[in-house]
Amino acid sequence: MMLLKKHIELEAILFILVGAAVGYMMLVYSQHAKVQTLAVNNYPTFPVIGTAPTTIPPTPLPTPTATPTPTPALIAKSYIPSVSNTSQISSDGTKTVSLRTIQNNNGTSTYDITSSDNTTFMFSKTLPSNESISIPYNTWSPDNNYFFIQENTGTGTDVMVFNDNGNPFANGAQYLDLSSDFSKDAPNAIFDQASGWAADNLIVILTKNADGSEGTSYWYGVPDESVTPLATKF
Amino acid sequence: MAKKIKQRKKSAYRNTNSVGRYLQFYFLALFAGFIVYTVGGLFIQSPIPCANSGTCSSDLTMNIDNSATGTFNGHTVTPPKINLADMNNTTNVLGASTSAGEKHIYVDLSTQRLYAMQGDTAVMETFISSGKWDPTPVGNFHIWEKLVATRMAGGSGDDAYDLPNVPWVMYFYQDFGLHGAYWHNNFGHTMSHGCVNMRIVDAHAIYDWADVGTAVSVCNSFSPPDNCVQNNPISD
Repeated sequence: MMLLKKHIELEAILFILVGAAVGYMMLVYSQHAKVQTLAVNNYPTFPVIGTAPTTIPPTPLPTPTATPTPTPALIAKSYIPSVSNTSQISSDGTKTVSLRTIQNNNGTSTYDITSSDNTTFMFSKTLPSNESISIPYNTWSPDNNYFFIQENTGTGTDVMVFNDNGNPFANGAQYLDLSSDFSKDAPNAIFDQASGWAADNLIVILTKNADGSEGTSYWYGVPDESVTPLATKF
Repeated sequence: MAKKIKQRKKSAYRNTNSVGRYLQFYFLALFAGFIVYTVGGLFIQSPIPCANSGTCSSDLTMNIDNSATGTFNGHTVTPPKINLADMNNTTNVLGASTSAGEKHIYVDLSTQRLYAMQGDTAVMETFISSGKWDPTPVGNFHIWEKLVATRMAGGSGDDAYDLPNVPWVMYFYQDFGLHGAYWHNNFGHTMSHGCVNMRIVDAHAIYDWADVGTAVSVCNSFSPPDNCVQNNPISD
């Protein structure tokens, strides 16, 4: 009698276990089916792009807008410097760095940099006609604390990094001279460009090899002025 | 004789009794299976379809966490605080006054640019960052989900990332999406794990412009007005 009871108890446990296992398998299957449904329903098919040509006028990326200076009547015959303005906003659109370029009558150009909607004057420089200053597309750091500008020196590119608030850096300098720091720390590398920011305080530097191919990439730390070679090419 | 009859009766009773018991066990087992199925469903979530990395776990639902910090490229990043009341304000909608026609987004991987076309008009052209660690899928897709913000995580080792509050997300193929990026500003160069990164302002503008169902074509190269070159496009 005892043996029979034990036998029945074991069978009961076995039944319950089998039932639970079947329930679990059904649960897993139904969850999997949900994913399939999501994938099928939410990724609608789309016809291949039509072969019929369409005319799409290109919309250029931000370009300088010319602001003509009013001509006073008394100096109508004198040289009228042309002034152009360009600007670049931060990723979230809350900050702006602006560049005003004034063409002087002696062939030089004066470049004025301001940040935060023209309220903070940052930098001014007059350059000969074969040199220029520009604001790159990726000028702002992701946290909007820094920005950098580029000076085309005719023979190369100088990159200057500023605090957004216009304050000098810890070393007293108004800006960090990325190009100078880079040439000191990586004398054999051929600087190509500072492409943008990999993080809040890291500028990506691209280099090229002597044959023109893509060289090692570097990080430039702001404000510690560190130069770090990378295993990954950016 | 009487003893034999009594034994038979006893045996028949035992048989009936054990069949009843088996039925009891059977229903007990059914009940146990039902309990496991229903209660387990509360704890076991559907696996998320995830294709841009072997270890990714993108959240395909809106997910805002204003207290979390993120990780990208081995660095800690601070996500922007997201206030849904502010997020619901639409920007000036692209092409609202001038354009008509079908909306179509083209991503040019060779120049790292995005073109938002409405009919024959380009209402937006901007730099993007496509896949660096994992490729962005080439093909023709549709936006199937729009999320104001969500969390994206994945990768491994030095390439691990965990990014809360990724803004203005529009998934176009599985969990590959167009979205704003607050953790880098290196657009025009590959920087993603397969998604298409944009400046936050650009992502916001295109989010307001595009709809669920808007066509997205990822091209190896795209020359306006009409030439989208796709090498081995994947089927949607």
